Amino acid sequence: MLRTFDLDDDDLVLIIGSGAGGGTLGNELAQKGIRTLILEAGPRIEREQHIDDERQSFAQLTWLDKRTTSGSWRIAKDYPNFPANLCKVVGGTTVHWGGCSLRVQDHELRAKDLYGDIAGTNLLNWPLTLAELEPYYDKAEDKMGVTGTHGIPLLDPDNNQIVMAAGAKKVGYKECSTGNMAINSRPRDGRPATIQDGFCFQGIRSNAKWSTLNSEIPKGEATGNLEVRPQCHVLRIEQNKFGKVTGVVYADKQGINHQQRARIVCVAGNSIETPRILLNSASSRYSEGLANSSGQVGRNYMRHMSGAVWAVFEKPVRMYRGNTMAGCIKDEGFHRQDREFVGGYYMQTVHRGLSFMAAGLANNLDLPGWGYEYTRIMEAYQCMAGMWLVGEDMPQVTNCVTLHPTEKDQFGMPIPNVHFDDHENDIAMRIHAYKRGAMVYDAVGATRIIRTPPGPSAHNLGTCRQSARPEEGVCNKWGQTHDIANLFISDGSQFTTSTAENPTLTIVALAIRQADYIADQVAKQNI
Amino acid sequence: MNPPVGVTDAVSTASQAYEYHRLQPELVEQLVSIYRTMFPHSTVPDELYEHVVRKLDDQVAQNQELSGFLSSGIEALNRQAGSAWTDLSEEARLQALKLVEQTPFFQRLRSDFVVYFYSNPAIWPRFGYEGPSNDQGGYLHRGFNDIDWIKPRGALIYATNV
Repeated sequence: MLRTFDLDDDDLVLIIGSGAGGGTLGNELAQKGIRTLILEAGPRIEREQHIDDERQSFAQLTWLDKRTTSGSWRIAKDYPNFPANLCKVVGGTTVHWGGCSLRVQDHELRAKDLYGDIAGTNLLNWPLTLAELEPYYDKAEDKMGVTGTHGIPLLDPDNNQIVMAAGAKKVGYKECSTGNMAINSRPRDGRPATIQDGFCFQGIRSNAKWSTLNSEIPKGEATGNLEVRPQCHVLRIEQNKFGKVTGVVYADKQGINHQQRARIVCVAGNSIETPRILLNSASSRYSEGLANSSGQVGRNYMRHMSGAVWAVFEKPVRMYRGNTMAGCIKDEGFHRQDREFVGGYYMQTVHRGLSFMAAGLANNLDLPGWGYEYTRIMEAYQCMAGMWLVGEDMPQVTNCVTLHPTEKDQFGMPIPNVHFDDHENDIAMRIHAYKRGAMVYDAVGATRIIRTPPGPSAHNLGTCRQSARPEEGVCNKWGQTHDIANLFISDGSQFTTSTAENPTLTIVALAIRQADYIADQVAKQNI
Repeated sequence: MNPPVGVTDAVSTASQAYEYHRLQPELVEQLVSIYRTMFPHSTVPDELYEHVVRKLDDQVAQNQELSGFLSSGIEALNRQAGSAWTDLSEEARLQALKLVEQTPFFQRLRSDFVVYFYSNPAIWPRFGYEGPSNDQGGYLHRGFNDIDWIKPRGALIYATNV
């Protein structure tokens, strides 16, 4: 019997979003006996309904509501209404992720101290240390079954990784493996081992990959303390005269508005929707938006330095057979003084089916997106290998999510605009990463290298950042907003800097930690 | 990762008798021919190119403006080419297309082709792509690590698992 809560129940923790942050937080609170409601904008699509087809899956899982873009980034030209590739389903983007689960590095949390004043950036140290995070990383890795941790064996390398690893070894890289992946290498936690299905970005049909849809949410629901209410699109957060938040207004799938009361509100809508909701909740008391006395809500939007390198070989690779991203070169992941940029990046295997390979190749940096050259490469599809590049990008105060001045969505809520300019550090890192990626494949006989530019981002970070001082960010080291004690940020928005690592593991660790804090504060009747 | 250029409905897997809603036979023929020049796959039969033209026809049936957009685009292309498309050499067709490459008409044709042609499961075997795998047990026992030209194989597989 699934739990349901009344609209006027004001003793709930209400979480907006059910992805890595919201889904994890919901389960953690439910396990502690705290009555918790998750409002999810998207529908609940169980894994049996997920589709092994890139385009059909994309249509099934993706957040397709219109967004606009501005700034000098290439996305504004290539995908003007699709800046971010995120999911709109129960489970959020954990239904559509590769599974790479790397801890951040200590120095990355002290980015300002280490990197110094870099022109054009709004760098800041995190208000927490790696030592404070480590116990929560342990819990997160155990929860997610991350390979290479807790005695869990690594995944077996697939064809794509065998090629990348051979190249890595030839160029002298020391740290290349299938990596730390939240994909079972052996049966664990009621889920089977990987069958190397090749559709990690198309849902969790095989159930080997961790997602809040197959783990946190059903576990939380089993306690009787968690309700997950799908197709509830939150429009604004309500406040009382004392400056506390009291609940939210959401539109259901028919577009009918409801008011849901709550004791505590946690926002985990991802780094575009989270600031959008806060900004749309402006009131006479909070005229610039909720929790925005610093002016930093929506600012410092980060999306990771990224790009991809594809290589054509004379003989078949068949990269599509195997886990989508189970391969990682870590050697460039560190900050070094002798490179022309600060921070680090990783090279991670990636594959695409024929359909998305065609779409990617239609927008590449090295050859025309049509004609004979294009079709020759497509005909060599079987002989291709690929890697994704992911690295730290710089927070800039001008890179921001704002409310569109005129355009509204189907519920009458202003749509978000995402403004972004690449920082010169991002550009320098990308150039370096493309070169190193090409070297890896050249070393094992690539006949052609094709680079593709950053696409709509799945890593969206920083728009409600943690800060020690209230005037420099939106929330403290627990994700609690500086301005409003019963309002929390519970997703990647709270990242002070992007760090180089894929963010999901850290979002999960922060959510577990935040649940402890909320339980403690509730017990002490502080909130 | 880059998402697709657009979103499609389910793709058809079999060719069947098809009646065009709007597009006239001559236009269908020219579009297939244009596509063969834009995206030459010499061993792929016309009907798999026509799959994309049918998608265009579907869209035209839904959208009257698109009909005018297509016909004026074709007229401009033909003017550019100087004589009937069927009379042009392959080289002349390519030159004509290059001259309109930056137009919205060309870009629309291009992006629709990329979306509909390569997402049609009927063409996947020709490119060596095997498609859905979960219902066949994934690739765990179907060659996920069968690459045989990386040597020395054993040592490298070990090395990848540091």
